[in-house]
Amino acid sequence: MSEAARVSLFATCVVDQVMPETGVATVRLLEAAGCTVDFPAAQSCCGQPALSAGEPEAAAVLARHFLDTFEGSDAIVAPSGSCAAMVHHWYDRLVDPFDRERARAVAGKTYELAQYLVDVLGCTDLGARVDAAVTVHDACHGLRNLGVKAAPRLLLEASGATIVEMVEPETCCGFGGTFAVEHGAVSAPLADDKLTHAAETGVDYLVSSDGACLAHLEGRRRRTHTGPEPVHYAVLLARGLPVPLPAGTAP
Amino acid sequence: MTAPPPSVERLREALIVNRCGVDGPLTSDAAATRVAEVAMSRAAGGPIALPTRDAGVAALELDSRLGALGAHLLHPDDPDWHDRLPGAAVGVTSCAVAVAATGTLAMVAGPGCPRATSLVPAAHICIVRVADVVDELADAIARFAAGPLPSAVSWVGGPSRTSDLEMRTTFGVHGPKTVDVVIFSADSADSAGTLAE
Amino acid sequence: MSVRERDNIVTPGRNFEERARHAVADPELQRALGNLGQRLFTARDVAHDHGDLKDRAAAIRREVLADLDSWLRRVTSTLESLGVIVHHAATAHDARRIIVGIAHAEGVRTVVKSKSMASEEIELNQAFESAGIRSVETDLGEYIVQVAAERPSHMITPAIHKTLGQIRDVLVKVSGDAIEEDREAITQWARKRLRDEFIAGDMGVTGANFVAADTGTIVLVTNEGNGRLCTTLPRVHVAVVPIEKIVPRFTDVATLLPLLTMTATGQRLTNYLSMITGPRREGEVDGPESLHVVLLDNNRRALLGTPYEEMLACIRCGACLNVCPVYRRVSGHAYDAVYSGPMGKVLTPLLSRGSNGRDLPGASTLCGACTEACPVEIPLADLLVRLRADLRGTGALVGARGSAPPPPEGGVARRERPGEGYPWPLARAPVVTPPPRPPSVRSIMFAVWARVWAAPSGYRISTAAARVAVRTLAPGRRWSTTMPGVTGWTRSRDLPLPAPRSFRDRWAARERGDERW
Repeated sequence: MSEAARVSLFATCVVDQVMPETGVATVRLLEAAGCTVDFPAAQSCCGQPALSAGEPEAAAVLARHFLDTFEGSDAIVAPSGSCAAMVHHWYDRLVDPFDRERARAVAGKTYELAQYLVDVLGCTDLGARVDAAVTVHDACHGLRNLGVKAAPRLLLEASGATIVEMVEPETCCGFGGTFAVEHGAVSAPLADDKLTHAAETGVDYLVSSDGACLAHLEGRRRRTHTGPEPVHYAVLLARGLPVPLPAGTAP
Repeated sequence: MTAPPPSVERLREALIVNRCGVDGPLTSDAAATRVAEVAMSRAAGGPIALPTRDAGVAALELDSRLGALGAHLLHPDDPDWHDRLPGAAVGVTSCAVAVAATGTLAMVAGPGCPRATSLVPAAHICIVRVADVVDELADAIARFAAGPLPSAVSWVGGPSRTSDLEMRTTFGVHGPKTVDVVIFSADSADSAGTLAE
Repeated sequence: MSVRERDNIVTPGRNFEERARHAVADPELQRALGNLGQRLFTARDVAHDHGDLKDRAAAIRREVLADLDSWLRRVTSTLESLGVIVHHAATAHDARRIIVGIAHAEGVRTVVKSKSMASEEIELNQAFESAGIRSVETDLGEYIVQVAAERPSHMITPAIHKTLGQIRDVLVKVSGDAIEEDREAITQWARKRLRDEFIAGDMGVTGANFVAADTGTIVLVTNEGNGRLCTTLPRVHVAVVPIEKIVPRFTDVATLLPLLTMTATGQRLTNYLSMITGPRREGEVDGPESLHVVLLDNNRRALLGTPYEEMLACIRCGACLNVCPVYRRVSGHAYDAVYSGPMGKVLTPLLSRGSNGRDLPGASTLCGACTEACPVEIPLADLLVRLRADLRGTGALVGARGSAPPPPEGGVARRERPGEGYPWPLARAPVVTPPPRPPSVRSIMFAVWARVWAAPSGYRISTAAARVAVRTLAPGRRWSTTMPGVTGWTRSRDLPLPAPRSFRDRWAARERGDERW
């Protein structure tokens, strides 16, 4: 690359508030790939919780805010398949007609992290070394709306990680937003299925691209003690980056 | 006879996969003998239902052949056909067209060839002319679409089956338990339409 | 009489959540449902190998929906020219009245039925029973649920929720015969039992998989042969045909039929197809003397011109059920509706105008496996999202018959696919016209939340305040086991708490030079 790609990070509200290490890892990976990363401070949430709760007007307010915040970016990268998919799949139908073109334009430059690194930048080897065996849960929205399937695997393979596929990697983990709270009786067994399938592979980590799925799976694992540790693939890769950290700085 | 065309081979394989008995392609004479053999064996002394207006059955002269073997025959113009058909052990029909890709036989209903002959008796024997074998369902449908449609076209893939019991397949639930197919090549240029007259 | 009063619903409960909870805890049901796993990849493999079929099928379905009324007129006149008696039923009530009326007029005492979701939808068996007419289901799975006094739990395999032992017990109980717990034995018992019914039947009732408008041909698929028997032996045949089953041309069947059978069961074709063009003709000795087609609307035409029109493209293959993570865990009875699975979650509130199944669209993870599996490209997950919005309040769903875009010159009116500029913006054209009432507390809370978070300072302040509050209640803890307000989560899972420092806090620290990454 002759010129560094300029990327705006969309951290997503889940990563920002609950799992910031995923955001840190995302920035480190993008910089390892040669990008210049900025973080528009006005950002908040993609609006998914409102839409799946049946409140499209509220979701549209947040959609418009997203467009205002990120319109000027060259590329917008999120460590979340479902948030990036929200922008792609719904924004042009949520916003007012006069904002529709704007929504399409912004959607056209919004990416999930692995999708951006592999499909746009053509990078699979970021210099990260991961000496572990992993299995991949293909988070639903990234998979079905954005086609995120091969990209995280290519990144992990390039880092030296061993990938062992589980049974039914594409089956939903059972999170589903409000479903996880309103239908816990079905949500938890679906997590059990996923954790059991992951356990059967004997790997060290269960990786995925969506923080919410991971929180749901880890939350269940802490009760059942079944299955490998769920972790965002970005966190695993970033831990394997060669950048030395000064003592006292948490990864 | 020269090697059978690829469609016929494909049909044979598909019928076997569908759990049909398959013979042929044979000459008319050999086919007639074979049909009679299978019919007598399946019938085990019980009545054999035959249509009265069916090109394939007529071409193989099955009425006289089976009659000569002492078979008990049942025809749709018999006065109590309706009541006696459930007691028939075998039904013999030909088909208007056979789909090689799926192993499906299409039978046409009309005067003298009732729907029920291939449905009610526990054994069905179907005669297939090589000229009536097509590759794909779309080809068969195109043939039917080329002219007026009969009142019923019944397509059969093999013995009746269900997987309603824990998703495992069993046979003979309502329709015939066995389907035997005899494929033959018409010796003369048989110009009669593929549909029963 | 309401179906719910008559049926033994296998999984008790007042709503989906309760019924699902019972279903998940039922070990025999879970064992039976395990059998469905074989069909999980069927639709995906079909789509992979036959993508062109899928595209053509999707186009054919939408060609009809673009001008359904005109196709209805066409198919009616074609059928009538064949000597078929055509009835138009606006509602389920009309359909029942018409069909019972036919039975009375023809002196029918016994009806033999081939599997038909439409006949379930209109509660036809109950109508026959009230009229003193015996109606016997002949599809083995339907027969089993009929004698068990249950609803079918899956549109293709109605008794999927039952183990072999449960099936045997039900049949023994209703017949008093000694039947072994063996598939062959049960099959042969059913053959004998139902053969008598076929012969005694005066009227056969079926649905239709497709009806061709150009030839008036009714297409029926089965594996068992009961469809053929119902349309061959009895002297009257009534086909209950939902209006969206119309296809323009007989030749379209060559596209739709293999796609239906491959997607539904993985078979290249079902074992039997019946293509029926009119009643028995002069000189024939079997087939029905009179053939009636009852075209059923039941709130379908109200969906035309709305985003929900897409749902009428459904060919009832059951693929969405087979891939749905929720359906595969709870089975059809948890939905307490005729149609279950993802398509049932959409269709039930729509056909009932919002009076049934209001909690169904929310009972989904929105994973999108259904949309992916659908052979005619119905955006099922998107329709569920729309329904969640449109079902707010107690407004009945009414069809806003807006004007559809005109077809392109010489082309088929193919709707734009979702994500490529779906023409109905979500927030602006709700299908529901709720009665004037103030927005619910929930809606207000979401509206406030969105506006607070759309303001940068609002987001920062509210999240910082929440983090302080939580850390005060749960000092030092990363995970909570008992957070109030979300017991639906914490009953079965630990809940992650907000991090001590948010990502943006850390980014700011990095900008200041206090952190290096």
